[in-house]
Amino acid sequence: MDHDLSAAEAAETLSMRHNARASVAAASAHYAIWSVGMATASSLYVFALGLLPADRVQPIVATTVAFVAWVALPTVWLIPTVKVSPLGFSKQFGLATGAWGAVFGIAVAFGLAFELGPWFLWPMAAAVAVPLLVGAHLQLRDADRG
Amino acid sequence: MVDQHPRHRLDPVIHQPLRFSVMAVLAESEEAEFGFVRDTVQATDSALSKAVSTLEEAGYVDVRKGFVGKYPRTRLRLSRKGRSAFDEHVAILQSIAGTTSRHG
Repeated sequence: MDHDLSAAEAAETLSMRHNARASVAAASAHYAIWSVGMATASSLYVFALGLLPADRVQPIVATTVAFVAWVALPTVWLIPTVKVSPLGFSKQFGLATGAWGAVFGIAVAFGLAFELGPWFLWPMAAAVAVPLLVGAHLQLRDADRG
Repeated sequence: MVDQHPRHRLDPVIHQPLRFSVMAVLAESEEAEFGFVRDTVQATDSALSKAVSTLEEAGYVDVRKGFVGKYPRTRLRLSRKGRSAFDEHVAILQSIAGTTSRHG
């Protein structure tokens, strides 16, 4: 450095860092919105499976098609809008979606294979939403700190 | 012996305002699109390209080019060396801001 850097200049430079943090946090809110959309869709799907007669395939297929279409919408929206991944995001998002996949898989596989009905599927409908909602909450909390 | 002023330890590659801003954005990210960084630091494509080239040459930034559908996307991330250099640079700035403000 050729000149004496004043405290004010150093503080001004450091303020750019805070602005950057805020911008990254704001841009990463998309993940939280996607997570809430997925949590709602999968929860309603599992709840709907509990309403359907387990011995009739057609309503189950129709509900599954509707679910897949609903899930495709937020996912197709998310991919092109992802411009930045905040620090620590991959681990947090991976854990949330991994836990969601496990609970969702158990709910659907056991619910349909063993025709377990509402007593199993309705509590599972609530459980399915938890990992993604927790993930979204953590994401938004981190964004707030930005 | 007089202690050397901390400014002498500032990294001239990082200290330039645009490059500092770019590194600040990347320090908060795992990875960021070129366009996102450009909009956040309010730079032109050419100014950002030049800044990124300098940071890449210094080994501070990794540049990854790819496609999303038909559209080319350039993604930037700090290298381990870059993250460490940026953290050190910020610590020096904090010491200057703190020390100088305490002593006038």
